Formats: sequence, C-alpha cells, structure tokens
Amino acid sequence: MMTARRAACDARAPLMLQSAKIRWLLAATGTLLPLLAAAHGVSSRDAQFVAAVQGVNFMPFVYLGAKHMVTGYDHLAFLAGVIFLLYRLRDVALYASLFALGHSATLLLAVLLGYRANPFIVDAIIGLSVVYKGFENLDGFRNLRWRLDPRATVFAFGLVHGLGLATKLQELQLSRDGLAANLVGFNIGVELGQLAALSVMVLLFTLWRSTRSFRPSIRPANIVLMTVGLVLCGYQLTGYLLSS
Amino acid sequence: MEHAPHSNARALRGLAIAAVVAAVLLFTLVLPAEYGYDPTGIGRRLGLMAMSDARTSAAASISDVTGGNDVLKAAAGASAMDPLPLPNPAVSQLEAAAPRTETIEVTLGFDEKTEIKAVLGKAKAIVYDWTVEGGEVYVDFHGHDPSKGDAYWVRYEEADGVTHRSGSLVAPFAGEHGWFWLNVSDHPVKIRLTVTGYQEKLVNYGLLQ
Repeated sequence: MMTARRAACDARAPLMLQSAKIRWLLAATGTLLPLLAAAHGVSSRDAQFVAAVQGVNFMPFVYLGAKHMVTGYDHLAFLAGVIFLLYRLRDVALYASLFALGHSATLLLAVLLGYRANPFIVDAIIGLSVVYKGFENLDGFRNLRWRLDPRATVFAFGLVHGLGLATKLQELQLSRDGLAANLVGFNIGVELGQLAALSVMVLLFTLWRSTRSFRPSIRPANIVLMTVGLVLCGYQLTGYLLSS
Repeated sequence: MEHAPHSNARALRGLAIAAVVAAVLLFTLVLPAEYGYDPTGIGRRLGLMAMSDARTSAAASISDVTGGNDVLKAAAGASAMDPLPLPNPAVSQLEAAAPRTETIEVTLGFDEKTEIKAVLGKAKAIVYDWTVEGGEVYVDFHGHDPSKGDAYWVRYEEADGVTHRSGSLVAPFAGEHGWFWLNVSDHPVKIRLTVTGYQEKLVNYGLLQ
C-alpha cells in the first residue's frame, strides 16, 4: 500500500535525491544518527549544577531532561528501530506515546520511591531492546508460534528505559527539596527532547524511504542497529562485571 | 507493516553478523578505550589505551588533597559508583577516642619568651585558637622533629605585633608542632591557647632564657 504522502515524496524524489552520494549520506544518517550523538549520561558540569541547587528549578530540569534525551544514543537508537517501518504518522504517534507512557511511569515512580536499579544492568537491557527491535524489523519473530504485540513490547521496553532515566537522575546529588517539581520538569524535558529527536528522524526516514535505496537498505540498516545494541549491551555488562 | 519479506533464518543470520561485528568493535575499540581492558592488544596499538590511562593518571597526579577539591571534580573518569583513588589516604584517619581539648595560659613579662608545642604523629590534625590580653606578641608557629636534630624544622607562620590567631594544622611529619612567643609590649601580657585534636600532649617549655 502506498499512501498519498509517499507518492508525493516519490514524485519529488528524483529532483531532490539524484546523486547516489546523497542517498548514502541519508541512509548513513538515518541509522548512524544515534551513534553520532555525544556522550551519554549527565555531563560533570550539569552534575555540579544539580548538586548545588536547592528547591524548585523547573526550567533547568526541563532542559536537562531534553538534553539527556537528545544526546542519549541508546534511547535514540531504540526510537529509530521503532519507527523504522512505521509509515504512517498516526502509528509513529501511537508507538511514541506508548514508549513515553512506559518510561514516564518508571522514571517518576523509581525516583519518588527511591528505588535504585543497577545502572549497568538497566543499560544492558536497554541495549538488548535495540537488538530486539532490529530483529523484529527483520521479521525475525515471524515463524514463532507466539508473537508479542509490538505495541506491548514498546511499552514494556519503555518501562526499562524509564528505569535507565531514573538511574541517571539518581546518580546526581538530588536535593529532596523541590524534588517532585524538578522531576516532573525533567520528565517533560525528556518528552520534548523525544519529540524533537522524532521530528528529525521521521523527516530523515521519510526522505530515505522515498529513495530506491531504502528497501535494499532495510536489512543492512537493521543489522547496524542490532550491532549498536549489542555493543551497548556488551559495554554495560563489562562495566557491571568490573564494578562488582 | 510493509516491507520485503525475509525468512526467519535470514534474520538470524543478520543477528549473527551483528553479534560478530559487535564483538570485534567491543574488544578492539570500546573496552580498551573505556575500561583499559585490551585482550587483543589492538587497543594499545591504536593508541586507545591512552584514554583509559589518562583517566587514572589524572587522579594520580593530584599530589595533595588540601584545597584540591576542584581538581578532583575536574578529573574525568570516575562514575558515581566508582570513586577516584584517594591521592593521599592519610587525610582521613579513624581514631579510637574523641578529640581532646586542652587550654594553657602563660604570662609573659617585658621581653620574655616561651614555647608551647603539641606532640603530633604524622598526619594527625589539630585546630587551635590563641589570644593575647594586655598587649602584642611576636609569634613563630613551626614544626620540628627532635629525633632529626635542631636543623630539621619548618615554619607555618611568622608574625610580629599580633594579638590573636586561630587555625588548623595537619602534621606533615611526626614531632613537635607549636608556637614560640615573644612579648613585644612594654608591659606584661597573658596568652591563652586552646588546642583541640589528636595531639599526644601539649608541652609547655616555660620561660626561655
């Protein structure tokens, strides 16, 4: 099924994306964007700021949340995997909302209840969520008798990503004073960051899908995605083994 | 969903390719650079080990903690779960007893001098406060290791015409650490010294000749 919007893109495509170089650049950006993002975790200067402030600091925490999302390549890689084969904007909105619902739930609960998950283990599972999504995009689960609803898995992995967000926030010396408001600010920032990242990704994917290179690229791109997830997972598991 | 159908085995082969590439990337690039774990030796050949080495040396190059908190904060590498190595472990010491507070008062006539010293083990800490009543003194706050002869001494502070000082000291070496006072007023003065900390004792040398 080709939607009207895709047809419009296809019509524009020959004008916009003539050179193979540009096509490959787009393909590379689409999958490697997460890799290009800068350091994960919270920078030491931000950490010093959080340790120094007391009380409600809504906007700084909104900014920290957005920054964490936009520079957090694990979350971005997962989102890229989720929207890889979502052609309709309505589906993108649905899956992104399920993901947001999941990670907001665990982020808020874990921080407010003071539950600290092991950050290495959580980040390793987040890496596996990227692998899972890549494998699903390759239709790897097709022959299984039981198939998990992708909407359910996106929500479930959202819960894990939220725990990961919580551990990043808990690494900082958070003041109890104004915690709830700051936490809500951080969460709002995370959603704004996700929206910003999604907008760019949806745009790039739409452009990429309109090229002839998209279909043959599905397989290599998702293998790259699984590689990213496995590297992330191995990196975190090694950290866990070295820390214990 | 709309995409080219792939067989299950093809997807598994894709996963296998990803696993092999991930393992190569991890063992040659990521683990050497991040953790200094370099089983293949490729990380060192590529110069990546310098990254994890730099992290440990940044902490090790801090010679003293005194006033060094900003340096420690700037040093990269440690996570919230994994502290930097303490540059000088002696800065924190457990003691069996509570710190002791001792107060000594001495009266000095015109041009008279005295010395009061705290006997301290290496890296033992004291805080002190002294006040002069009735005039001004010259003071030489210094440390001395009697077992190494009279030439082995360091000066913490020298001041003339002062009436009050308070501060702290962590003994740089085991020995006697204290104050030489000379009354520079033309009438008698009374000095009251309080020392709190882990001094073995305060020694009052009385009036010096």
